[in-house]
Parts: sequence; C-alpha cells; structure tokens
Amino acid sequence: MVCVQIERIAEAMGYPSDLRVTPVGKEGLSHLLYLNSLVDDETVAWATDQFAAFTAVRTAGLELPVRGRLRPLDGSSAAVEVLLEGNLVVVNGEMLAVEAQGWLKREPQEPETERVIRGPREGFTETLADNIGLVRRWIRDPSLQVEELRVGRRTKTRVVLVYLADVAPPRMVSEVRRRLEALDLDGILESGYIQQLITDRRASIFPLIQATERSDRIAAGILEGRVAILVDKSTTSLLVPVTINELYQTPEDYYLSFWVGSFLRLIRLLGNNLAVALPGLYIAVTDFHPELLPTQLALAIAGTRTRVPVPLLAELFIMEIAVEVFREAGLRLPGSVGQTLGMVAGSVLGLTAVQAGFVSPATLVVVAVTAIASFTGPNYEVGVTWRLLKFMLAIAAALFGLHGLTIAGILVLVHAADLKSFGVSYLAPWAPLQWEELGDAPVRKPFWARWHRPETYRPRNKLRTGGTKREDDEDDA
Amino acid sequence: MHEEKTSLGPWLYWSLMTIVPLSYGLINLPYYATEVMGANGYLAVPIALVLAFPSLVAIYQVMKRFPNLNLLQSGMKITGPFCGSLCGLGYLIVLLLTLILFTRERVNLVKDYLLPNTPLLVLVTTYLLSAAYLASRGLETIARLASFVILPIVLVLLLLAVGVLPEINVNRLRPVFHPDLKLYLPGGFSVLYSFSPVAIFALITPYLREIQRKIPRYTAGALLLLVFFYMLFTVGVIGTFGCEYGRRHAFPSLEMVRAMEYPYLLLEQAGLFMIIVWNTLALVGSGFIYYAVALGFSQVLGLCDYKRLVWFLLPVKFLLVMYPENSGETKELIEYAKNYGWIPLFGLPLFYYLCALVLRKREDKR
Repeated sequence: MVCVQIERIAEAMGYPSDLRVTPVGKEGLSHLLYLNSLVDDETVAWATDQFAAFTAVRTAGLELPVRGRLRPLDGSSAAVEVLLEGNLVVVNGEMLAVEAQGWLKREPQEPETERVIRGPREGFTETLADNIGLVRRWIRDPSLQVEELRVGRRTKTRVVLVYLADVAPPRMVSEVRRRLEALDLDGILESGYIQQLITDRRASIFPLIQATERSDRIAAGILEGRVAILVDKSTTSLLVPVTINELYQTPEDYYLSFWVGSFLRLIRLLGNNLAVALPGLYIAVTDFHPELLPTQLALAIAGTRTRVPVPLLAELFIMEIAVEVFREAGLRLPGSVGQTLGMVAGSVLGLTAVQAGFVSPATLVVVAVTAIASFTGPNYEVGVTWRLLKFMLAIAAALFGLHGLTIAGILVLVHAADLKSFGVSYLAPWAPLQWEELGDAPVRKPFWARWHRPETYRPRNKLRTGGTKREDDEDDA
Repeated sequence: MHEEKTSLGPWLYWSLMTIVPLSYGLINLPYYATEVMGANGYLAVPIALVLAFPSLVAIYQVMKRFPNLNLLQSGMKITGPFCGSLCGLGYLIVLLLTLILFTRERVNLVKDYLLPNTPLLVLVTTYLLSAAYLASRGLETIARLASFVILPIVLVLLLLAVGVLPEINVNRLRPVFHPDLKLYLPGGFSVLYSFSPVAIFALITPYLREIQRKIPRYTAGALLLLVFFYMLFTVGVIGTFGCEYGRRHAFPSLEMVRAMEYPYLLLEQAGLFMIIVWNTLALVGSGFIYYAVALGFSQVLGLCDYKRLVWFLLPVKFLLVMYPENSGETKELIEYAKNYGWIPLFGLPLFYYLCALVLRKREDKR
C-alpha cells in the first residue's frame, strides 16, 4: 500500500532527482517524502525524530509540539502539490502534510529606487510570508485581511490581497479579486505581470497601479482604504487604486514636519514639470519665439549655437538620447564604476562635445537640468513615462512652437483625464476637484488636519480615528 | 445608439460651465463690447447676462419637465417628431457653423501671432484633430479636463488682469455710466453671443439629473465668474488702449496682455502665458461644443453613435473652416454669427418651454 502511494507520487512528479524518500517509525512502515531542494533540513530531522515512535499515522489527535503544522491529504495529487510547495509528506496508508519550507531567504534591505533620508530602511524581499509579516508588523489590527489566491497554471504563484475589512470598500476588493481570478496564463514570475494584466487600460503609458518595495508605503495605503497585492517571489508589491497625485508622494513627507513635507512636494512637482516640459519649452522659445526672452539672453543663446551644425531638435535629441544611454548603462554597472562613468559622461564628454561644436552650452545646460530634474519623482514608472512624453513634447514644439507644445500637453492631459484606476479618476483630487483632498495634494496637510481618509478612495470608514461608516456602505456590501 | 452612462458632479458641471463660455468670449469680447457702448463697454456684459437669463430659466424648466431627455429630445416630445427634428437640425447647424467660424478665428490668431510661416492647412488640421480627439473621449473626460485646468487658468487670468493695472489710465474709462440710455439694450445684444455656450448645456441635461437641484446655484456661480472676467478684461482693454484704439486690434484681450512687460523676468512678456491659457481654453471649449454637436446630430438623426459622428463630421468641418479666404472674411462672417447666432441658441429653449406650458407636456412618470 505504502509503496504504491509513493510510486504514484513519484510518477506524477516525473521521478525528480531531488525527491527523497526516508523510512521512519518503529517498523519502517512510514515514509517521509520531500524535495530536498526546498525543505528545511532541521525540520526534516525534527519530523524524523517525531515520527520515530509511531507505527501508523493518525490524522487526528496526533501529539506533536506544533499541531498547526500538520494536515491530512486527500490523494496523491494533493501530496504532489504539497511537495512542490516545499513541505514534507508522511505516507503510511494515509497521508499527512508537514510544513517544512526552507529555501534561501534574503534579509530586508532598503529599496534602491525609493530611498529616504528619514524613515525605515525596510523593503520587501522575495519571500511572501516575510512580506506579509512586514505589513502585519505595521498594522496590528484584527480587521487586516490576508486573502490568498493562486495565479498561473504552471507556476501557481501565491498572490495575496491585504486590506482592512472595515475600511476598504467591498466593491473595490471584490473587483480586485475578480480581476485576479480571471487571469489565465501559464506563469506569473513577478508582480509586474499582474500589474500589466489587471490594469484598467492596458495600452496606456501611465501606470494605473502603484508599485512599491516599501512596506511602510503599503501600510499607509492600506490605512487609507486601498488594497495591497503581494506576490510571492516579487520584491515589488502593488497598491490599488492610484491617482497621479499619489505617485508624487513619499512616506517621508509624513515623517518630516508639514512645512518640510510640503516644500519637498512642491520641489518634486517643479522638478517633474521641468523634466517634461523644459526641452520643449527651450525649443519653442529659442526657435520660434525668441522675442519672449530678454534680448541679451536671446542673443547669447543664438551666439552659442552659431558653431553647431545641426538643428536644435537634433542637437537636443542627440544629447537626451546620450543621457538615456548613460543612465541605462549606469544601472547595469557596479555601483562605484557606475558613478565614475556618470562623472566621465557628464563632465568630460559634455564639455568636449561643447568644445568640439557638437552641441551648444545652452543645450547642455537644458539637458543636464532635465536629467537631474527627472530624478525628483519618487515613482520610477511614472518617471519613465514622463521621460518618454518629453520627447513627444519636444517634437511638437519643434513643429509648431508654443502652440504645438500646448496642444501636445493638452492631448496628454486628455488621455490622463480619460483614465481611471479601479473606478477612481486618475487626476483626482484635481478632477473632479475635491477641496478637502487638495490640502494633501500639492502640499502636505498637518496631522492635526488629517482626520479623514482620502475621499478619493471612498473608504467605508471615513474617519481615521474610528467614527461613522459611509451611508452607502450597505449598497457597497 | 451609443450614449455615455455617466453623470456630472457639481464641480465638473461648474468647471465646464465656466471654461466653455470663457473660451468663446474672453479673447475678443472687448472688441464687440466697445462697438456700441464705447468707453462703457464693460456695462454691456451684465446687460447681456440679464438678456440671457430667461432662456437659461427656460432650459432649466424644460429639464425639470423632461429630466431624462435633453432639449432636442424634449422638443421632439413637445412639438412632435417632425417639427422637433426640424428645429433640432436647425439648432445644430447653427451651432456647427458658429463653432466652425470660431475655430477659424482661433486658427487665424495662431497663424498671425505665433506661426506666420506655417500653412493654414496644417494648423487647421492639427487643431481639428485635437478637438476631435477630445470630443470623441466623451463628456466625462472633457469635464475632468476642464476641472483639472480651471484653477490654474483662473489664477493666471487674475494675475494677468492684476498685472495690467499699471497700464490702465482711469480717464479712458469715464464717464462711468453712458448718458444715452438707448444704447444699453443694443450694447447688451452686442455681447450676448459670449453667453451662448451656456445655452449649449441644454444638450447634456440628462447627465445632470443627479445635481438638478444644485444647477441654479452652480450656474449662478459660473455666470458671476464669467461676468467678472469679461468686465475685468473689457475694463483692462479700454483703460490700456482707449475704446477707439482698442477696436483696432482683432484680439484686444491678447494685445492688452502683450502690452505688459516685465524686464527682470526670464520671460519678459506675459503674452506667452495668455497664449497658453487661451490655447487651453479654446481647445477645451471646442472639444465640448464639438461633442455636443455630434451628440445632438446622433440623437436627432438616429444615424450612429456620437463617437463615430465626431469623425464623420471632421471632413465637413475641415472644408468649412478652410472656406473663408482670409482673416477679414472670417471677421465678416463672425459678425453674422455674433449678431444672429444666439437667436436659435437662446430662442429654441424659450420656444420649447412655452410650447410645453401651453400644451402641458411633461415626461410620463410611470
């Protein structure tokens, strides 16, 4: 009987080389099965000792130190699933699963792309259980719901929804669940797959789901009534819904005084606008409307361009693309080499290009300011989006000057106004305007004025300090 | 027939209600305001508002009687399908022609002030395509865009108006009240066109059902802001140039802003901001009116949904926009639109309301 069961399991798995079958128990009738690449050696040793005294497996009332680690299994297919998850299977007529996952783990580290001066240096790791733990350490509330789903026919990736049951709107939670359950593909290797597949508009250039590696950001989002999606083997977790305003906020804004937080947000907005519009504005004003500039400045710019053999758009594009290439190369190089390369590219090549007459100093200044300003945004994805749109605006400005720049800018806005993230307007709280939320949009509200959760996300419980539920709560439920 | 399943909140309604008329009237209203009343042209604005008022009340009353239908659909219920369709078509054709003339005027401005060497054909094409894209995205997107841009626009316009104060010579504005009382009524009619976009909201009333009670309040708020800006810019133009000299400019509001210079700023002329603001206003306004026209035609003719109609109408619009030979001819045609265009826009709601009163028509509540 036991041999048949073991044979079935091994056959179903294709006789993998890392499958181990160890006899345990007094008469050697019980067997432990496990994949030695996935299990924790200590747990295997512990289980071997524990089962040494038994002659038969009992699925109920088994006296072991940790009962929660045991559960009975229905058949060989269930046993295979348990083995593939990195657990032990005890076979002796009946079958029993013992938790024993023990693969390599990484300690939480500070996320590279979301650094802060003040605040925790704790980023998510590749282990889902650890990531859930990180969130639970922030929110010790019994209402915190952790719902697990399996996505991917072959990878069977564990995907977890985390939300506050009495705050997150049920309609939104069920919509997230519905979209996740509807996913049908062979594998989910990273949360980026899910981000692209469950988004409201797959063709949009704007990120409609917030991705973050910071556990404090996820906790802050959950407290606002949003839903977090954690994916196994992914260091990046997702938050829905999101507004474009949210993508310019950092947890640090709230760790510092509201004066400092507000100032930083305004700087970020300015940086973003410069990063997007400065090249286009430079082309429009220099090429089409130099009369708008002070005469001396206009003459100085024109003077520096006399030696440059290419049109302004081409000059700007060459420099911008060079910066993009350096930036991409810098990411792949080891830290110290990357910094050195950045210095060489920025100072030596830039100055040499000016001296050689490839580019004008004014253009170099514009490109440098644009490049630096593009790093002010805390969200990598929306930063890349603006970097792409920067080229579109520059082309529009090169074709039609300020008129083209304005028209192109409005078209981008039209697209953004057309977007929704899980039913929430992407341009909220600006469109539709929510006066209460505006205090937390370009600037940061002080804590003594933040009694309410953002109305944008329609939380069930509006007051942060408890309070009443929404009137339409029952409808939502 | 595809129609949006949406509803506008009060703020979105107010934003649209402010942006669309501003895009229509702001840039050249002082030109027409001073035509009849001279240095007292600013007084023409509140008079025009009073003249527009009965029609706005009529639109609201028709909306209350037929909350699920817009003005043209209500008209078909009130006067019968044939008469209603005929009136609706006339209304829409006038609206389309007015939109076309104002589009051409805007393109002329871009060509004259910004891009004199760019072919008109190219400018018209880009402008119409942009407006069509916006119109095809539907009412909610247009309203959200209006909501997003309204605060910066209002702020910049206010700053520009304040910035022009040093240029104003108060003597040019005197006497405060025109002694000839007979000129007040024609003066009001001369700028009544600037409020006609407010009447176009009769075409989207089914999307305002949920805020029906709030409509008078928010409409009043939008109208007050409109009157404020219209008067402010008229006063600015008259005070800066004088009423006679101001009429030498086709776009006196823009000229007024261009007259300001800030020698210590990086960008010395504020005209840049005015052009950006005006371009934004013009595009949002055109997009909304274009949407309303397409929606109206799709409902009256029952041909296809408004999104397709937006693109079907594009070649027609293009040919008609290209029709006037030059700026002078455009100006002549706009005079017609200004003098007579408001008659169907304000007249039809009144006519339908009176008919509904007399015939005791209202929506079946079952």
